Amino acid sequence: MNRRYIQLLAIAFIAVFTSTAVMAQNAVDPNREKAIDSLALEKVKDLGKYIKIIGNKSTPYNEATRVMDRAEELFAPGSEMGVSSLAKEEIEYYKVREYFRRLMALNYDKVTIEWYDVHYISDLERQPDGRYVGVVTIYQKFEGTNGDKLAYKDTTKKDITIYVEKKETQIAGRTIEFWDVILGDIRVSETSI
Amino acid sequence: MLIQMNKSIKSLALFMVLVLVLASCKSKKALVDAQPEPEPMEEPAPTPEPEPEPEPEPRDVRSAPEATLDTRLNNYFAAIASASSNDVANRNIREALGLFSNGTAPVLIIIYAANGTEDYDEPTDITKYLNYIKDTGNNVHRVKEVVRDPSGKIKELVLVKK
Repeated sequence: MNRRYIQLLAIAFIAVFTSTAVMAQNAVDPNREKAIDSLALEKVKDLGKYIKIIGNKSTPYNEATRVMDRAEELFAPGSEMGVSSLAKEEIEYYKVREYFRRLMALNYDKVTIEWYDVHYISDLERQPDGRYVGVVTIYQKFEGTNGDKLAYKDTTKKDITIYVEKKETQIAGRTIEFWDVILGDIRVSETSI
Repeated sequence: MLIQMNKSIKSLALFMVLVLVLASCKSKKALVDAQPEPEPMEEPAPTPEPEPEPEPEPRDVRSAPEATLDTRLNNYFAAIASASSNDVANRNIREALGLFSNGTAPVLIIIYAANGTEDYDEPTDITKYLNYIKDTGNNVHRVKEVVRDPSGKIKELVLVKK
């Protein structure tokens, strides 16, 4: 009886030892996760800078088009951007390319767009399929001027869904694994003066 | 009863020792496997007729960047990021592109490295990367490695976060 008990104990010990070793191998390095968090946040900040360039009336057309291409590459296909106004309740949603075109064509002499306070409201969480999903909030300050007169001004709070997944590509015959940061829909959550 | 228990404890101890011995054998085997095999003894061969040596084929050179090239690239990144105008930035981009075999030379960006593995951002090309610096004003990477073609132009660039 005792021998059987000790044998079971030995088997349990080995099982615990083995599973601990496997878990240690699969554990995600917190510094790596921090680097991925920071990479994703940087992509959102980049988008804010691209939007500023696209909206700027002094940006040449070919430059704005090039920047639109770069900005569009950040998004998952079919992603939408919410647009709000102090003048109306409803929020309109446009495909990102359409949003960029409308932004470039806004009827003001001067447009200033500034993104600030970019931060996670929902940290990147690893999903069962290995992808990370999180939500970042940004504040966008918009000003449209005609001549010397400020024609419209608002501040919008927007939530951006972010997906990060590991992909691989071939570079000069070598397989390179990389973290692909993809932005999803951008939803307006608040609009104020 | 006590004797039987003692026997069981002894057999458990014996089992554990066996596990440890096996594990240590495995490590030793790994060590042995890692050692290079002894070179086979060569039989003395009759001296062959001297043949003209073939021209060495041009090969790509992968290396840590030379101090000057490293500095030049990092200076271009800084100049583009802080350019006072679009024209100044574009002029620096054109000059920097002159160091590369073409505008689509791949650029790899290491975002994290630990335990011999490296994590990369999505690979891009040098034209897009230089324009990225211009558009965002971000000068946050430094040159880690360059791969040059036979003419000495850069055909691949590896950057790392500063």
